[in-house]
Amino acid sequence: MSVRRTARWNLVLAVGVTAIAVGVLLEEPVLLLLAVPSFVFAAYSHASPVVPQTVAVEREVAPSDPDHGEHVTVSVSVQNVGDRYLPDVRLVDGVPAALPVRDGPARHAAALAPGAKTQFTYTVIAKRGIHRFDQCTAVLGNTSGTATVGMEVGPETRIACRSRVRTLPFPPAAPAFPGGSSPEAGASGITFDRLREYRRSDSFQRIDWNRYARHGELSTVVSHEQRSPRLVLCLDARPCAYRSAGPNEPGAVSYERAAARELLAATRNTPVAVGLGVCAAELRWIEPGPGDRTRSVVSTSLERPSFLPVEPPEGIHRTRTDDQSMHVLRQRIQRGTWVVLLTPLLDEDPLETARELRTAGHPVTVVSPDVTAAESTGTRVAALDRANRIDRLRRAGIHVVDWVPGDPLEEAIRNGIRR
Amino acid sequence: MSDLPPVPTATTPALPGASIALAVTLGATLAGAAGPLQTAGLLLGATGLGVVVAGVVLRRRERRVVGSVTTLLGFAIATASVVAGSATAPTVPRSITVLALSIGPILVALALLFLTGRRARPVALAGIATVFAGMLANAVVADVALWRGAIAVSLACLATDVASRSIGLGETVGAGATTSVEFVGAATTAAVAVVAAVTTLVLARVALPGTSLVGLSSILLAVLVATALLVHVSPVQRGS
Repeated sequence: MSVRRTARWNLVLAVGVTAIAVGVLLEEPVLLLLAVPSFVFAAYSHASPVVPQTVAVEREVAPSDPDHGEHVTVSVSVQNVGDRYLPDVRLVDGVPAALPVRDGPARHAAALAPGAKTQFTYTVIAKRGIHRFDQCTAVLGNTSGTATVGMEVGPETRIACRSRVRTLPFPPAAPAFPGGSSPEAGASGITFDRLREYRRSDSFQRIDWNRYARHGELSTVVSHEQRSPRLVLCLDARPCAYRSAGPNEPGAVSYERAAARELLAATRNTPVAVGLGVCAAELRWIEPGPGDRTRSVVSTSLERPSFLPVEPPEGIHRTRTDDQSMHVLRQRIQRGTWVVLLTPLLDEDPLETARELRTAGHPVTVVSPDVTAAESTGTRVAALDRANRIDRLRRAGIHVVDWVPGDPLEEAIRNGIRR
Repeated sequence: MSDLPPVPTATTPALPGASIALAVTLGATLAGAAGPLQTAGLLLGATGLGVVVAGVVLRRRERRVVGSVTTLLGFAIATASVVAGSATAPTVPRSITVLALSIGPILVALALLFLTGRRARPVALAGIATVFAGMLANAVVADVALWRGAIAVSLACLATDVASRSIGLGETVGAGATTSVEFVGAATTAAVAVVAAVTTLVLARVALPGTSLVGLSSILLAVLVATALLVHVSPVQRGS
């Protein structure tokens, strides 16, 4: 809460002082008298106390789980819960930056008697992802307008415009995990893989005694440890990725996050060990781990602006493409890990990364939200460049999910892995 | 946090408050006018500005051509009243006061109906200050009755508040929002204006000290002390 004083009545006071000065100079008593109203108003401005912070705000959003492009009606009601009159209440609702406002401002002003309520309504257009309405910003003014109190009030509300996914973006013929063998359902511990020549450092318990009895040769059993398949979701959050199709549209990174959420949800109830990599100014990394604990960490990290900033960080030149984070990513991913690379494909770095990972033996799928537009020659060229990169990746044997955010992600994944 | 996030899409002053401020300003000029000739000229100017407001309303209701023509006609009438009023004034000082009383409301109308945000406020206050100057000058050169002068100054102070509130609402909430804040604020300040005018008339019955140096010095000293106590210095004070 902060109290701010204004100098609104200083002009009136200055006029009064001037009138007196001129009156004294010209010896005109009437000017002295005509200065009196100025001083009365100036005294009034000091007599108005600061108003108390007694507003309560409620917000209703309908529907709370809209489809992409659907109109969402937001109703905000404001009540004076105190026992003093509030002559000047001004509010701005905390609309998510990614949702454009239609039909009505998300701002309101009213004078509220004790217990009185006012309401205002506006409409936003839903976009893919989970969006959070922040608290309202309220400024309460006193009667004379000389003091205002600013505060944040009201609830935070979420709407989820989800594009649920049931299919992971890998072809159905691909093995469930690297190595070509499937995990045995319900099996645990070590399973036989092969025999090799005995070495002095091998444990007695690993010696195949049956073979020794038959042939007189010492050999060691090598077991294949069952491992959960490892999957890393890699999000492109380099400065050049912060692009959108229009001024009021969510950016590519926002859509990447929405897709990552759905892919993460699709791995629930599977043995997949999920990790997360964010290629920003530096690489932010969560090592793949099995179970719900790691999924929870990944899920929380996707929502943290410090881990994955959805808005471009200040002071970053947005055309920089010489980041090292993708290079570090290539070195960080362990052998055999499956990689889903979420990137808008607006430059060449993701291509190189995908190819190198593929060459190193990682199954790779690129999920690319389309944030290009066709409004000008420049944007059309950018769209063509992106289409070329997609073609080149596919020719290199890498599956690409070309996702137009207005379409369901599940459908885009199925189309992408078929090609 | 003591400010609302910037800025609404349309930041022109809220029209209801702007109309009230303009009407009050015109009322102040008419109250401070001296003689039927001055009053007639100012009435003509007020009519012109009323036509300007009608033109602005039409333009904001998407009738742009008719609205623009009406607005230009209104400004033409107001300008004609300025020229006629100053030309028909019997003396040069009266001509100057008429100019001030005529131009002030035009500046206020320009600020409240056509300018936005940061530009509106100084132009509006300059217009009201011009009206103040004209009224005070009229009180000296044209010997306007004290009660008219008191009402005129009180109305000018009221116009300052209503105009500032209208501009502030346009900046923070937007010109399209319909609010009760302007009307409640105007009503409260109008009550103070009544008190101010009555106080002036009551004090007029108190015998003023003569033009002695001691008396005038006492008045000046009292004024300086009162000013020091009443002036607002506007730092941001952080509360808990």
